[in-house]
Amino acid sequence: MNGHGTNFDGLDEATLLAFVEGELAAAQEATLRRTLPGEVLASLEAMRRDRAAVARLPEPAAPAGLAEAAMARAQREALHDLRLTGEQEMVIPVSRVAPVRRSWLTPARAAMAAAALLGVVGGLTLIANWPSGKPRGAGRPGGLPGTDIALGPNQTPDPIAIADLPPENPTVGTPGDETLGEPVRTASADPVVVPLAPVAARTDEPARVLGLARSGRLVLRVTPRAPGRCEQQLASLEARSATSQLWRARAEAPADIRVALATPAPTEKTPVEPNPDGPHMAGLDGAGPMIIKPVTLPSIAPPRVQDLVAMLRIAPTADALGAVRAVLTEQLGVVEFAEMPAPLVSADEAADQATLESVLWWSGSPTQWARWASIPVVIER
Amino acid sequence: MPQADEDHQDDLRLLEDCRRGDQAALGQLLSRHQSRMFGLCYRILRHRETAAESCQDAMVKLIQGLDGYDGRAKFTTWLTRIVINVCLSKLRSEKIRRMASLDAEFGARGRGSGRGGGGGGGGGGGTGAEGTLSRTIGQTREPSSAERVQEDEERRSLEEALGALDPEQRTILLLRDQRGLDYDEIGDVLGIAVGTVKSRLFRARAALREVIERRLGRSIGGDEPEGGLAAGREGR
Repeated sequence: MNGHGTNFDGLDEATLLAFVEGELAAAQEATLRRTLPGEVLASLEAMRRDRAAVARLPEPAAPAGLAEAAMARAQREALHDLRLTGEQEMVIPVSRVAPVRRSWLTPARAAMAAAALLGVVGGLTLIANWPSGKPRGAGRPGGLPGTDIALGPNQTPDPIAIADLPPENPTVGTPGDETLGEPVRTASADPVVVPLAPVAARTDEPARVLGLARSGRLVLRVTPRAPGRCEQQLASLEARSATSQLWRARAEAPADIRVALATPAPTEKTPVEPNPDGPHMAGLDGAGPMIIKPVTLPSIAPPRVQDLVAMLRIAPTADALGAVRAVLTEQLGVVEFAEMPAPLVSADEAADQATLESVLWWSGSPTQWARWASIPVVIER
Repeated sequence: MPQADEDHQDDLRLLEDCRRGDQAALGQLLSRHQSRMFGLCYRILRHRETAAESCQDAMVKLIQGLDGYDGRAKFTTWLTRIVINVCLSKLRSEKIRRMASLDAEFGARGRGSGRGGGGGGGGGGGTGAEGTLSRTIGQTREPSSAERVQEDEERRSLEEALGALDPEQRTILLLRDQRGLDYDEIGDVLGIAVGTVKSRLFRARAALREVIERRLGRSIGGDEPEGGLAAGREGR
């Protein structure tokens, strides 16, 4: 027999196998023993012994608990399959700080609320678009209490910026009061003037940021993850925003915006002189208008040559702001809010108001009824 | 009733209980065949941990497929088919070749373990309890330590030679020699015709012989000077 186990002359594998297996009749086996070459016979005999040796190999002991483990796993898989094939997956609710309130809104109430909202929004839009005098600025004397919006002598306050702050309540508080900036009644006849909390601690508050956006003083500062791809990403953002109902992007801001950003911001220590002609604050004994210390702002450095400045116009809503931030974070990198000392008014913004879209504003979505906020975006490379 | 038939009837009875939801019957059914399944996995895969995983996989498939057993083949044949498929799939996916050497604990335990044969064909003389018995019958003395060392050496050589074979060849040898399946049963397990079984079996034997001769330069259990041990080992 050769090393490859091929057929011998006149014999087939079945016969040889039968010889090895001991399945041949005695006479047949005797015939084979007489006719097979000695070497072949020796190999076949060795195969017989191998067969017996394999049969004698001991049975290895199975690990303990194998059957139990298999049964447990089968049960788990059965439960898993049951869940996947139709049973609704039980959703474990995540604990929330704010309890979910049941809706009290019936269809009639919803209609009344919608009508009231339309009236309010329309009125606010008209007021917001009312031609104003001097631009607003921070830290100016005679500023509206409770805000950092300074008003000129003949300037009316922006109702959106001051929200529902009663004008007759001075912005006073006691040291340590955490509700700085909000009207607080005190029993003391000598109100204590306290500075507002640093903006840095509150720039993420949606209401505050939204107020800055509406007043034209919000800037976004972006630290890109891939500085070399910023132009491409900005172009993509511009294209992507073309169909958005909440925001529009321009990959490159107008030149006047870049100039405005390059204007150095006033430092914290810059004293703000009160305007002696400004309105007096109630509660003071002729001592002059209340001086509200300017808020410590995270100022933005003038854009460098390599920095990119894009422009955003967003609907003045928290949703729009959140959407923009999420998109910029996803596309570009880390996004931070910063505050400009003076509002930025782009020439393009004025031109936008004379479009057909602005004339037919009532045919668009409610987010387009109010004037959109312009926000520069500085991508620091 | 022959033992094999009695075992088969017990299996069918337990199977019916399992289908009625009797978890205890399922545990008993698995425990009855646990060693058989693991032993086959171990011999094919040549690695203890992998064999345990594959054995568990096979058991899970068996549990999941209990309703699919139609009784045309013996339960052990059906069970063996599942094990073989799982092991060969494992080999194909992980390409395990010539795994780590047998652990010494297995080797020492194997000397005193049960019969080495399968359920159908009988175990013949083994190195376990029956092997000791056959040696006792064939000999009037206990094997000496030298003989025991030689037996261990030959067993180790044989296992190495088996490990050197292709998995398919190793499988068919184990099914025939260790499990004692006949050609029809092997054909059922492997899904091949009887003629193909014979052809493959013969070639597997020839391959094993070639490996042994090439590696060791001698046959296992070959011409012993006194023939005593060889005669005592002839169990078939």
